[in-house]
Amino acid sequence: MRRRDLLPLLGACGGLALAGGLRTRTARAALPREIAEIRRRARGQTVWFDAWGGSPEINRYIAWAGERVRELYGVRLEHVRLRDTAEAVARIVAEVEAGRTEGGSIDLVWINGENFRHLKERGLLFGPITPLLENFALVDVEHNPTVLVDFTIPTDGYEAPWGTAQFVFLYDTARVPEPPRDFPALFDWIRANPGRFTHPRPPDFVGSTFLKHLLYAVGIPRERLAAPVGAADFAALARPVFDLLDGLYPHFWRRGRRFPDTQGAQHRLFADGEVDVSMSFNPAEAANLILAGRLSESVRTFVPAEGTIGNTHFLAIPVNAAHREGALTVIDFLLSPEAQARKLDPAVWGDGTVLAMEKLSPEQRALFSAVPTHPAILPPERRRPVLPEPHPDWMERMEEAWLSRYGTPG
Amino acid sequence: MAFPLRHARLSPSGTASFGRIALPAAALALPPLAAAAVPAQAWTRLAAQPALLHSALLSLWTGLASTALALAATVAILALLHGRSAERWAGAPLVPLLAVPHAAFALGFAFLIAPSGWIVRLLSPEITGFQRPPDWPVPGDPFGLSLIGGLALRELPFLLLAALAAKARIGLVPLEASARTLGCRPVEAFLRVGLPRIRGRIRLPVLAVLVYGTANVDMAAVLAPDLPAPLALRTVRWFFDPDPAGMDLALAAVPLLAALVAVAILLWRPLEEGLFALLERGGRTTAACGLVALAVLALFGAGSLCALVLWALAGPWPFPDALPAALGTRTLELAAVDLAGTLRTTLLLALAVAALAVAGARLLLRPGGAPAPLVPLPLLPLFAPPVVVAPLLQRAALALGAEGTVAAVAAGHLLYALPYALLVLEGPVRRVPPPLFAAARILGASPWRRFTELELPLLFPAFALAFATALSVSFAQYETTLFLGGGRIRTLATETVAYLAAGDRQLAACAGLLAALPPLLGFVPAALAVRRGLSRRAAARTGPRCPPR
Repeated sequence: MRRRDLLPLLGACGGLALAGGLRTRTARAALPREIAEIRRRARGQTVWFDAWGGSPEINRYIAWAGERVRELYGVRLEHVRLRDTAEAVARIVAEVEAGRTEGGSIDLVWINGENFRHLKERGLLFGPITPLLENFALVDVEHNPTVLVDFTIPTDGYEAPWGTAQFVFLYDTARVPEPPRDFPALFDWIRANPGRFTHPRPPDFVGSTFLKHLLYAVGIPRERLAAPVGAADFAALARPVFDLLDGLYPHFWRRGRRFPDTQGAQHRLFADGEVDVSMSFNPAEAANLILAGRLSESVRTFVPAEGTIGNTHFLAIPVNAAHREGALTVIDFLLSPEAQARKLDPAVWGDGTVLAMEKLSPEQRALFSAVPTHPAILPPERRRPVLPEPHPDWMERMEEAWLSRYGTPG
Repeated sequence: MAFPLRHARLSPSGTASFGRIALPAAALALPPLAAAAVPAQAWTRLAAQPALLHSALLSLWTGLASTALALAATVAILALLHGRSAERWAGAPLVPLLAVPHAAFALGFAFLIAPSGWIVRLLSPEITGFQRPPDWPVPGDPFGLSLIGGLALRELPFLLLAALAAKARIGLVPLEASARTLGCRPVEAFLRVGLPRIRGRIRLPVLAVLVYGTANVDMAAVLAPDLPAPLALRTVRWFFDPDPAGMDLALAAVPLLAALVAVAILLWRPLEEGLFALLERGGRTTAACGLVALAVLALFGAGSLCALVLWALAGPWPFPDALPAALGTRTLELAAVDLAGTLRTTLLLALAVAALAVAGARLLLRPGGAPAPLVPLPLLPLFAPPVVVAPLLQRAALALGAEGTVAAVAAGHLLYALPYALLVLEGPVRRVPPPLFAAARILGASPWRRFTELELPLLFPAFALAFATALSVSFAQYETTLFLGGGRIRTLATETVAYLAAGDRQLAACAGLLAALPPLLGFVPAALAVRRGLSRRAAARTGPRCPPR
């Protein structure tokens, strides 16, 4: 009698398992060299796109791109919202280690810096992919070296540039009429305004990037920062940074005993008036947040006279991706003038383009000149100089040292 | 431990004695089980982590203190309400508080207590003189008091509902009458004679609260101290550390966390003993404390919910404005677009999980008889925090190639929904009068007919309640969704936390409120079914039809 009671349950379980749908593995075929043929084969594929999902605006942009590639190429784009790109790196490593060398769960990943280095060094990326892309020819490789060199690591075509970024500080003119001119002035301002400054807790990438600026600020030469660094060298060279922090943290929000979890959490503190400065890796984010009603109209951005770090963020395909044609089709679309111009709009995302204006047709250029500006976005000439990213070693050692020094109570 | 309405027929005597002995013992067996999966080098790396002991003690302290606080407040309020008419309706206003996910509640609570929060804003600048928020260390004070307060507030309604239901079910009148003739005041009579009988019946819920408090992630992410954070929060951060070596640390931290939960359960016994002794002897002082507890609950509970609603509708809301300059549905509309797919997934998942949980629970029980011997086994997850279980399940799912599928997430949810369905159903199913079924069997009614025509109408309120409860448990699952869904399956619970991490309080509030609606909607029919005595009428309808031979 019991057994008959069990039947509906088993049926329901089975139905659920089917509805869940175990992801299918596809046989690996040679990839065509022609974008038209790639697009033809991409039709009907579902591309799993692992990308940081911490910004609703960016999420909506990706959703828009998904609609466009479905209309244009019949490709379905599924955004897997990561909290940190390292999650995708760990997953790719785990899958390949477990012998899943094809039919992997990630088709496309938004990446740069240390995460790119980990994957490239282990041979976990498919490529080179840039020769396969139609729109890569429009990329500004002549004037923007960071589209080919990611945190000092040559991309060798294993990732395609997607957007450009530069670090900026946010302030509210209603609270701070005149922002600090340069880094020493910023440090003086912190000392003079106790409790009004903080940075996101590393390894949040904005928090870590703030710390990297201190490497420049204490005078470590650019060439040294561009090279790998060992533990002993780092300890000696970065010593002044930690001396500086030891002196500054008592004047930080919560006396430097606590830091906001993420840059988003810092924006929240900034909006609430608990701190007077926030920071972003996107010069247009302030404008974007003002337009979204999350920051007040009086918010502006500043870049200290020494300049701030700028970089490029990229798109890459894992070596075990199940839908490489679909992924290539999506990347090529994201590099198109249509997609790049929309991305530039501060009401949408406000992310810098990687395309060279002189390589575009007049109609394509018109798409970019139609993008509205915003007073909270500094024009490029007021953001100079753009500092290069240090070698990824510096960031990793910095995060480690920071955590062991400030990650304990008392 | 997730959410509500398991209060109705919680923990009859059978499971209560089970909860006293077998479950804590099983909790002790979990750490070595989890330790088996840890690579050897991970232990030394974990031991080298700064302030590990501090994190562990913080988890233990916040778990024990918040549980003790919530339980003491529950008993005090019970004493206060004893013999008053409010006792009958007091449970209703608590339901919305329970329907809001933990993370969203924490968000609202944090906005109340922060130096830039609502309370300070209401007093600024007129009374406090603050033009800018002061630099006070809340939330996230180093002693974990904000977290303890938030946890206790969030768990108090749950315990109170469980206790009110237990109190309504046991006949206290004759006992107390005799106590009063011996010279006790009504409150004293209740505390000294009635309370010990309620205590056994709320033991399981209290332990579930303790386990949640010791190893929670979603509330800790908003309210807990940092540098170091409590162990559960650090464990999850290690799991998602940009450095791939963080995975080793996380895997080694999981058995440590399980051991910590076991220690909390062991320490809880003497603590509870002392607490009850104090409360029983307190007499009218206990009832007076109940008034304070009720005031705090009303102020902070309602305050947190109102803050959530306002933030869902607010644009910029700078300090020290007591109210947002403008309200609008802009964020809600954005959230509706951004969350449409998520909402559908969440709902379908919860409906499937709830149906399976209720069916599974019913299959494990015997109408009119003692439960099958294995019934306590599905209750075990109540004592194994999701942050410990989910990573282990993820490993298993990865090995099966099922990670990131709806089926895997549903299985994880079911693990936690089934015990709550069992708790709700056990009493009612066991209390079905055996002759009813004996007669049906003699008449040759098939098991299915016996179920649909006798049991279902008779027990409809209990089934509805079990369904609503399982639904809400599924809605509240954060860690199981996170780990088993592999980022591919998103629910409102994970999205609320994601919005919070992104710093978007408006969207997080929207997601939190959206997540509260379906459990509320699920519970309303269940509550109506109970009220209207549907069961009796339905039973009367099916009565006359005699099964054919």
